[in-house]
Amino acid sequence: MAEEKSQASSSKMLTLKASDGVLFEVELNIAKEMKTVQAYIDDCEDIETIPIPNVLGKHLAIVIEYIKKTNEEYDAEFEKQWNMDDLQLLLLAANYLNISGLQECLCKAIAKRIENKSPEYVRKVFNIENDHSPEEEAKLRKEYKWAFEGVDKD
Amino acid sequence: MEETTSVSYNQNYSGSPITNIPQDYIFTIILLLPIDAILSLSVTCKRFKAITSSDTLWKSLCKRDLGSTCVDSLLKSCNNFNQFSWMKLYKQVYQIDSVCCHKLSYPHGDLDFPKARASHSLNFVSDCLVLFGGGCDGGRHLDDTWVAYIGNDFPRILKWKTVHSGIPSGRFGHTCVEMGDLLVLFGGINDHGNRQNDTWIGKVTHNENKGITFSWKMLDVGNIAPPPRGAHAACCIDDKRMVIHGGIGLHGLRLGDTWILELSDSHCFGTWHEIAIHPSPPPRSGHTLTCIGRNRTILFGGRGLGYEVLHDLWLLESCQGYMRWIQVLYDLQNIPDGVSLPRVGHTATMVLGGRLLIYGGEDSSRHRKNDFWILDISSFPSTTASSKRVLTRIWKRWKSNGYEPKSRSFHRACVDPSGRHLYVFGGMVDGLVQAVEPSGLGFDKELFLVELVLQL
Repeated sequence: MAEEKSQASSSKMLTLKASDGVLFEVELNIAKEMKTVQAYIDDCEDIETIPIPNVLGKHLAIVIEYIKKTNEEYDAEFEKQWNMDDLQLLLLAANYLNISGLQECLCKAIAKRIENKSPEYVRKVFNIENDHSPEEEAKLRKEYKWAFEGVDKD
Repeated sequence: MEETTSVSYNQNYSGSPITNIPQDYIFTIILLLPIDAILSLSVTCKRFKAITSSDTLWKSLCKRDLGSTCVDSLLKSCNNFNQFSWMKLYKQVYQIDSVCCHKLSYPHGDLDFPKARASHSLNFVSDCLVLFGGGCDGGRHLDDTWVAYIGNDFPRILKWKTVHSGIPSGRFGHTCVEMGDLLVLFGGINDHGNRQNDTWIGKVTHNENKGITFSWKMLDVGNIAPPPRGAHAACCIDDKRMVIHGGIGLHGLRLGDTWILELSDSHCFGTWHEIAIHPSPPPRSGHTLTCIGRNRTILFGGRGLGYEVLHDLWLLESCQGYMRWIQVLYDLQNIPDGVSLPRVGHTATMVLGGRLLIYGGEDSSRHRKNDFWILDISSFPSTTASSKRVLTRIWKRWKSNGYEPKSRSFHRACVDPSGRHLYVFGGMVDGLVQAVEPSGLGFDKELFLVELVLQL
């Protein structure tokens, strides 16, 4: 059962189990891109199914697809497909699973979504409640005016 | 398949996922945003205001947008650490909209200073100003090298030292480019009208007896070199490569070719190769090439084949392993005073805050200028953007306070590592050489400083 990792490792399959029970069969070299999973394998050689308690099946599927296909072109298109909630949850997943390329890609994607947008828009997109008092907010906007001169109105 | 009802990603999941993202990611995301987006984020809620007010964050933003060298230099010049805030500094730099000029005087007595000239080279390297060659009255060339130690602050009185080198041979209209601690000199014209295509490497050296001096060495480039020329433009791409474009070649023909020099690690050898790509900037002379960071360079202005004075802007950058020229289109009519933009024999230097400072030059009626224009590099197209984007707010004209320099062209300028001090020397100015010749022109020997003023 426990094959030597050297020759056959690229074709060895592993099962990942998402938090909602969805199972994914992936090749070992794909799973190893997730450093958290790699650590798991290093600890228990015989393992066949690895639980991923922090990530929903829906997001784990996206993450696995990313690892398989990532390149400059794919990354550019990748970030356009997801809404902000998914982007944030994917970032949490990428953080838990410790996949560096995906973390960078998602940070860039989130940054891109809030560039050139008003505070109101950003609040909606991040689902944040405004806890500044009206006076505080007015004061801040006035204080920050210098950075907005000459910026296009959206 | 088991179904769990829990959708929580950790015990404290509540409301917006953004509140659960680790702080490190928030900083990473913020550092990818332009300043106005960061401040908009600050307005959204108290938590983000606290995060975006961190002075450590603003120090990183200063490093990102001003460069580490500049930040180090600013730290050294800071007088009052208690009141120092990186956010305030960033705001100050952002809001600079004028320069202050200072005349740098020469001491009386028997200290030498370089004679009046134009189309020479002036560089700031290893804490020193270095000047070479140029043309002077009578159409004669010069072959002298001068060095002046500047250090960290700008002195009001400069002490020039002449270097008796004998090499390179006398010339004007050559280019001399800073690459790390080295200067790379190429081409030029001598007073017999011969165009050159030799390449030289120069370095500031410290000699026990003579103190600071400068030494030149011809670079071995093998059999392939660009055709001889003068009045071309050149700048470094990175610490190993230099690019040249155009100029006036054999038989007075204006060239439009682009060549890259790659230096060996030892700096003893170099290889030239031409990049023949289309589109590329049309032939011209007296234009400028300036490195604007991240291996990109900007070409501006000059005089074209039909003798017309140009104002087009071109960006040279690497895209997926090969170089390409992109024309940056803009509408002259939409720019206040835009009619004074076209020029030849101007200087273009990167200064504090990601700006290209353009000074002087002459227009199609040979009127010399003394205006200062800023090209805002931060609003430039990146490789992924469409190449035909037309930008309307990239040019700004700056006021100049303090000493008023004479209008000039074919002068030279260079900036110190802080990005706040631009040194300008020489050039052709409207001369009052003889009162009977009001339209006469003269060679200038003035050295003055253009300062971007900051309260530190």
